[in-house]
Amino acid sequence: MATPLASNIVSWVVFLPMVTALALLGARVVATTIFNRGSLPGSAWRVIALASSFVTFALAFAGLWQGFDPEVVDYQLVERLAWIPSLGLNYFVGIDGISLVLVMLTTFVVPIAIMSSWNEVEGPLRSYSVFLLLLETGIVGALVSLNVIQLFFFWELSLISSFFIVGRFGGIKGLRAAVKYVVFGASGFFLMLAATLIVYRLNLEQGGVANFDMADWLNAGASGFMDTRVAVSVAQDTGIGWWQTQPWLFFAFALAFAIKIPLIPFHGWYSDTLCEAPTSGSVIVSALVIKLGMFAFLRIALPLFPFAAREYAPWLCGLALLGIGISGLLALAQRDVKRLVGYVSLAHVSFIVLGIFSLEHHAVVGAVVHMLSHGLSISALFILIGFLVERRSTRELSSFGGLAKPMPICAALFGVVTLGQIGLPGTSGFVGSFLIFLGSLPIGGFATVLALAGMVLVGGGLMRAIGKMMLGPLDQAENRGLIDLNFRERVVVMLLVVPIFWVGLYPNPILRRIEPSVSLILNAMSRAAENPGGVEPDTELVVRIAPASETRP
Amino acid sequence: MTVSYEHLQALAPLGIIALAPLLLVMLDAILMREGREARERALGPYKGFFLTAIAASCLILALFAAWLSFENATGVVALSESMFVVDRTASFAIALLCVTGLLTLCHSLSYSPAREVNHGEYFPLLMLAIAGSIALVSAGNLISLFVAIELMVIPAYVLVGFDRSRTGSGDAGMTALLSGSFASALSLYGIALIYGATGHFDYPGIRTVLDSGAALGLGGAALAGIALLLVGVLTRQGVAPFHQWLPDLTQAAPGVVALFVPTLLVTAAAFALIRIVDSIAPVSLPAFGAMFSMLSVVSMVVGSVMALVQSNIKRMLAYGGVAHAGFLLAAVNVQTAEGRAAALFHITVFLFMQVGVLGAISAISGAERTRKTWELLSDYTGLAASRPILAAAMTIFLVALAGLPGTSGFMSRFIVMSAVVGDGQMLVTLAMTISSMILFAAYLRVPTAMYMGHTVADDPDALPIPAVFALSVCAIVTIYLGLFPGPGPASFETLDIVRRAVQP
Repeated sequence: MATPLASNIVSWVVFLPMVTALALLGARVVATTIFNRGSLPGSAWRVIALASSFVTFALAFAGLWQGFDPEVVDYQLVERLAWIPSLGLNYFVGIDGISLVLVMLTTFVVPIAIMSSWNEVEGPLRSYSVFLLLLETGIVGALVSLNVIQLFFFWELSLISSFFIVGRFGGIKGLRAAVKYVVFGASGFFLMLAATLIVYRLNLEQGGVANFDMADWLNAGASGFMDTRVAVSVAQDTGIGWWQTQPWLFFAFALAFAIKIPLIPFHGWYSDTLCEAPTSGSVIVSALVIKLGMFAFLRIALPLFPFAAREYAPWLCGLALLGIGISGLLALAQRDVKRLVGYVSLAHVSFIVLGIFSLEHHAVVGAVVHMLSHGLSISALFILIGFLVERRSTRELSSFGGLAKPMPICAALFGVVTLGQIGLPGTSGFVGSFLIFLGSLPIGGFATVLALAGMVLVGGGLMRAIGKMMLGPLDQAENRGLIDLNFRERVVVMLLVVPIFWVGLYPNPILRRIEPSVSLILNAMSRAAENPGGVEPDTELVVRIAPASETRP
Repeated sequence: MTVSYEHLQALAPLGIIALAPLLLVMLDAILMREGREARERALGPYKGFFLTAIAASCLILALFAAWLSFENATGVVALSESMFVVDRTASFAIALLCVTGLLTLCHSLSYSPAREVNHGEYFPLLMLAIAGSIALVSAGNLISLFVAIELMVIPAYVLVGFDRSRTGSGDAGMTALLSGSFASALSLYGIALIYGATGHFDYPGIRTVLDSGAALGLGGAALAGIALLLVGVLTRQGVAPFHQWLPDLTQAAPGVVALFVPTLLVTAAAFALIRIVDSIAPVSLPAFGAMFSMLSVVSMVVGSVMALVQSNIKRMLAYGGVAHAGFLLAAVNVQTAEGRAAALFHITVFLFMQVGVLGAISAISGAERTRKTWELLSDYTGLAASRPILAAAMTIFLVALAGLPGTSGFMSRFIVMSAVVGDGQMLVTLAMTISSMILFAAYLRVPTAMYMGHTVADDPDALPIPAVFALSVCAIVTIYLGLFPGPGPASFETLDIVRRAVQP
């Protein structure tokens, strides 16, 4: 671990895509303004972007996956640099089991997304490549950030770059969908910022040192952001306002994350965005960007507000069940195949939230596995549909039919991926679903049964789509001449199918890495629940800065 | 009273800038002796460049003097009964105002000839307005405050009506002058009331009388006076509901004036407001604290909502400025050193963002006037294809105004909100959050149009070098303050400077 690469491996994985993007831009500016000639053609930019994202994946695999010690229950491969100490901002990165799995997913899916849109995205390939690379840095950076404000920087980078990908390269209505997406996202962001600052002020009063680091890694005496004790309710004589209590702060964070995930009343942006984006945009938004919301629940909201999380978990579970049911029904009713897959994705996302808010070990582990599994199978579905839409230039379910005859490989892969999405034993979907069902039993068999019914509905929707598109009579002339997947397309889908089965058949390496991190979060929560006094504000420590109007006569 | 070296040093920026108009008027008269120029009252390129260079040298000298008194000042330098009080905050303000002037000169160097408004009067008027603003930020006396405001705004309003070929420009100057006079009259009435109640014009004297309770019988009159005085200052700062002149003026003024006048007035008035709040301390009275909170909330809401519905880009930016004035007022209302530092940081950051984006508009409207006016949002559709670098610069300023992390706009939002939250002002925090959401949607409309609208790419002329220089300066400051606002890997540490500026 002596070489600079090995000791800064997390930073390398985070910043390699961004550095590539900036280098490409810089080379272009130099070439056009100083030497007055055109730079590389757009296709070369895309090849460079692909190469860079492959190298990033290789680094992540060799450095993070191999370097991670499943026995150690803490943040690993930590790097910390003072950035703006007076404001409590530091460059602080590290991984735990949960972020490791999601980083691997992200670095794996981005190159595949680039390859999947090889023919579809036309026009300005240069900015497309640049934004994809920036997006990768944004997502990976947010996953490994151990400083809250630094996490916000990466969070917004991912939001803005996915906005440009969806809006600039999407379909006709893509722009409108993209604006909806970014405005929703930014609203959640500012809400999150305000809530974070309130917690930060409490932390400052309790610890006396400005600190946005999640943990006091250096044992410097600064109380970590996650160590902030937030009052459960407004207590007399402590000077704690209603806005400084767990329910309200949890509400603000949960709203911001629910917009990102998206939970059912806030899903307005989701299906439009997925529908109108180019294939790689849909893949990245549905498989990666929205995972940040779920991840942030686990990373920030649960440990910081254990009481409120427990108290409002039934509500969130209810929203999740509602989400599964409604999106299952909507999936059955769709005529647009991309929108249909969007609703299937929405159902699975709600299912993950159900797992998280069962607040039970198996369910949370299952939720993390399902994030991975959902990321793989929904990417494969969007990519396959992208290939079909490319050939037929329509997304109408009714214009397909009997495709198994002209395109047997495509049909077979579609079937396999669908079964993986539904959760056939032996696929990754099964592991996650099984664990979530198992874990949600203790909170009430009712919820489990409802969720099970909902997931059957969703599976039904997908199977109906398969039946209509792949089987049945080949009655439309346009479909007879369709050409089956070519070599690139087969490789792209197979790359996703292999891990679906790998995770399904041998999940142990992944479970082994996730479980300690999940236990850590849940144990901290139950400790707080057993000892309510521990999270009550310590009256001696509370020095509230009173408004000026109160201090002066 | 003996005049010491410190006094001279403290007065040097004001002296230099106040004498510059005389020099410029004489030079203009000498240069204008004969020929076509005298009839048309337009300077040739070389003479315009010469006058710009003279004005810029004066500004750089004043900037240098302000920096010296910032670094060397042992404390507050007060002249003749607080007529002028130059403390660190004032020196900091003077430096900012000089930088505004310099950036404006960079833009006008190419804009004025292109728009055929390269008149010699432009330079003395510009310098007079800056002199007024310098006097305003160092005024410690109601008389000098009033004179300084008038000295600042009257040349500024003349500048607004400067381009006589521009539709509505003269009207806007006249309207601004009239509504400005109304605000001035209110402040004058307020000054009279304060003087009647306390018997003092100077801030320390007024403060002493108010604190001792000697004005008890007339305390109500003094308070009403302070409120009326504040209306005059808040009007110039663009706080709603006294903001209407700001969008009207920004929309109607020619490009360079639209970037210069509102920014100068808003910045100087903000510093004057901080001085008044700290010296006469009306926030010590709960009613004033509540009034400030309400005004800031109203500003944020009105500014952001109105910005969202505008179709004219300059008007939208002006309404965004109203919302930002609300943020600033929220920071001013936090009566701690942290609140002051947040306010100063916000003023600094906002100045560079707003001058940057309005400068980009001025540069493009100066360089291309054939096809579009570059006033409407729709004029910017597809700009990224024809002018990628200008579009990128404008995007930087706009996302900074919107508060995107990585830019100075986020840092100021973060620091101001942190101070407000620490003060326990929940309503203001909530308003700030919601108005940030709306502003994000409003500002993002321009980059959306620039990058996602489709238009034919043409091959436009290159932008003039001085304008590009000014834009680069603003862009670099915007990014730099967003990433390293405080003690970081560089020697220029803004947060540190801001903190020192508010030290007594």
